[in-house]
Amino acid sequence: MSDTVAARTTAPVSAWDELVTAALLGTERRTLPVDLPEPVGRLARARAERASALLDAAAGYAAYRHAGARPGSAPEPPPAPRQELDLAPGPAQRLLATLLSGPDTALVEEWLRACTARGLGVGPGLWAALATASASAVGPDRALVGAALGQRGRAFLATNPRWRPVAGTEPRSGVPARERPPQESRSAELTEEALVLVRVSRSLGRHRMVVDADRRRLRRAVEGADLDAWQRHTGLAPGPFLDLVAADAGQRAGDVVGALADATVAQRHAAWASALVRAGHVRPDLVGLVPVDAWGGIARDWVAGPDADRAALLLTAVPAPWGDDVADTALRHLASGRTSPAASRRLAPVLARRSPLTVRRAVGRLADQERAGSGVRGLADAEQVLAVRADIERTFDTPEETP
Amino acid sequence: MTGTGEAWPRERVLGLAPDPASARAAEGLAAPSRWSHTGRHGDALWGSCAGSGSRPYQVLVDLSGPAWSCSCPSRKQPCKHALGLLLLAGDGRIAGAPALPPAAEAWLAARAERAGHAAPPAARASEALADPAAAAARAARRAERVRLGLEELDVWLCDQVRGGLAALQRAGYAPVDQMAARMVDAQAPGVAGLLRALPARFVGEGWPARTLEHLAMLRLLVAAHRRLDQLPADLAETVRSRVGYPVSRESVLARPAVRDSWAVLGYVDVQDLRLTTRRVWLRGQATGRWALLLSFAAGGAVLDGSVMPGVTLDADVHLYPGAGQLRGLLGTEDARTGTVGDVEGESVTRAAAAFGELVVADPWAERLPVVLRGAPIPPERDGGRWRFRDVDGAAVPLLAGVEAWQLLARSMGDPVEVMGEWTRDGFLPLGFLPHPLDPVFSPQVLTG
Repeated sequence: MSDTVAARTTAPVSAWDELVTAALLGTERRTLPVDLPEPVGRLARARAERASALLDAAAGYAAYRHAGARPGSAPEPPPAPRQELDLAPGPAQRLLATLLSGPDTALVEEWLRACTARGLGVGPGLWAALATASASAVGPDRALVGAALGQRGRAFLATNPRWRPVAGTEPRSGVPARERPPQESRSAELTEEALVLVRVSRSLGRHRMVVDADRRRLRRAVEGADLDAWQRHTGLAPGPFLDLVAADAGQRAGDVVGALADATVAQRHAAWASALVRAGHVRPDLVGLVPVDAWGGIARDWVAGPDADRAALLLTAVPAPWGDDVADTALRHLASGRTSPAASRRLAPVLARRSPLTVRRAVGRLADQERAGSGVRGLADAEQVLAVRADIERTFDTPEETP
Repeated sequence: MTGTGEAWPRERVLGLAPDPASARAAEGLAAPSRWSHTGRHGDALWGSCAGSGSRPYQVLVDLSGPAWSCSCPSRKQPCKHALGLLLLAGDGRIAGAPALPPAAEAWLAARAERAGHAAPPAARASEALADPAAAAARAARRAERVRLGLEELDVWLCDQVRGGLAALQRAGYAPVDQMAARMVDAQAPGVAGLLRALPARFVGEGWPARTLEHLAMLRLLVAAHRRLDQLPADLAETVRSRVGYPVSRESVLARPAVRDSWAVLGYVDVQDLRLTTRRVWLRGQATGRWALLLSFAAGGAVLDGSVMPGVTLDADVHLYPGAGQLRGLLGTEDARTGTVGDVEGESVTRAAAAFGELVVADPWAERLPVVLRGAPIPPERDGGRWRFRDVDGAAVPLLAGVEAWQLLARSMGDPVEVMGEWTRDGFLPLGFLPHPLDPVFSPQVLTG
């Protein structure tokens, strides 16, 4: 016999439990307990009929139990770290609440970047919503979320098993766990070196400089780098990039680069395009190897081409340093009127989400054209996104209201 | 409601939302970029909102009603556009205009005309009382119908216990609904409501005990109703209230008022099959007394959003008759401020004792408003219940199914003041103090 069962069988059964058992089985099958405490027993004895007696006794017992209930106890919870961040202004936090209720992860990330750039944090009222969003596969970047929550917020995330990956207590899928270097200065040095080498790697296709020594140096640098800074500057997850510079994956990337060496410009773009997109996704491991001067051509070909969905994918998935070039080029084509109305409808909102200020103004001009009856529709969404982006900046600069 | 022309605070606007989705959508619309041709004049607000249609929606709001009109196709009342316009006005982003635009003028004139045709409620009430003898005869007929209905219920209750709760659970909703319908016929709507709540007790750990307790309380109500004339006056009123005898608004407002600065500390909306009930809790700062404002909405109607947490009212509250009765009506209101003062939270032990006192006064009492000081404790295993622990270590379980992540984020082990409802089945937290409706927070989120 297990301990649990033994405990159950030897535990005293209260009169209330006996009443419940009698009611559960029915008074036709079960008699009432005889040793009911007073005054409940008196209530039961006042009725000859068993069912009435049971109900009267139960009513008395229930009132007795609730009137005299004593609370249980709980151990003291462990202390949580203090919050080291000042909180973002109220209007900004209300905007984040609105953004979190919508589908646009990119705008949430933009809000988080604006927040962390100012050294501010998110108030606890939004921690749960942010954690839930970030725990999903398409949610905002977890590193950004962790930074905006501060150490107290990250401790909060660790209390919920579903949110622990966001808190950084478990490695994100596909990214190997790594120890941070003990010395901050060495980390910064290696980060800088890694960033320089990334810029070199972006030129690999153009100059055919796939040199093993550089690869080893890059790997060393990335492994020792501050991973947050690395990701912020390159938009690349370090894990896949390390896979790329390792022998096998690097060789495949090298094949792509080598095949492009003697091709015409248009062929290069086509080759990069087919290599970049696999199964409806842009391959992050190849993004870093596309030559700088190739992005504009790829964007032009894609945006002007018949497959607007593919172009939208490119605009959405390419990380920021290259994405801005792509967005600039794409917008020029969109504004030239050479794209189909369907493609414009598909691409304008995507462009608005990721474009820098100059592009925003241009999208605004496109919206004017739409209102003037140019036939290009769907830009209302783009305008809405731009308005939200402007709101992000405005709300962070709005002082806190006094009650 | 008087036509002050003042913008409404955010929580009051969101309190009008027919559902959480509308509230969220309205917040997304509360940006000037979505609006054109906005203006306000007196109690009227107007604006054009860009939507998914080819033409902007024309939105009009009359704050004195409140009432609204929108050209959008939504069936929700108010729609997200009307709420968005109210939020925009609340943020001070709608400029005053010297005159009403023609569309607003025509709409307000039509409203005024309709209002002129409707007889005031007081006039209707006085007509009803024109023949006191007939009214007394009607009351006597009703009392007899209730008596017969409750005797029938008593037989039914005993039958269930005789046959066993297991059989009742297996039978499910149908027999309970049938008996509830019989109670409606017997003009005992309160008892019908209690019966309809019974099947919710048939699930989860400990369901036989909860079911037996519910049946026993119904039986106690039947027994108390038989002796209505012999009960103390307060308790008799409580029994009448639980059975569902009507109490006119006029008679409640004629009762002595409790004058105080009433801080509105929490609210919760409870959705039944066809009816949504809103409970708004007020606490008198001088008297320390609690009052409950109830409002109901059926068939998509709008709940009363005129009193929502985060404000303090210098006002009269008239309490309904009955022992342990907390329900009241708002009488004369002299001033309203947009804050609530500090409220000192009490210990779990003291709150448990206060609930015990309430049960002694009103054995059918289901909930007691309390402000607790302490911290939430997450369950130790999946599917376990949260607890709320005070600084002395005493703890109360939260209602089954309530996940208090928002509460935990605020506290993280540090004591916080939480307003909520202490019930027979656990504590239901409704809001933090002194900001019961933090702009980025709501009880729905907390309890959802």
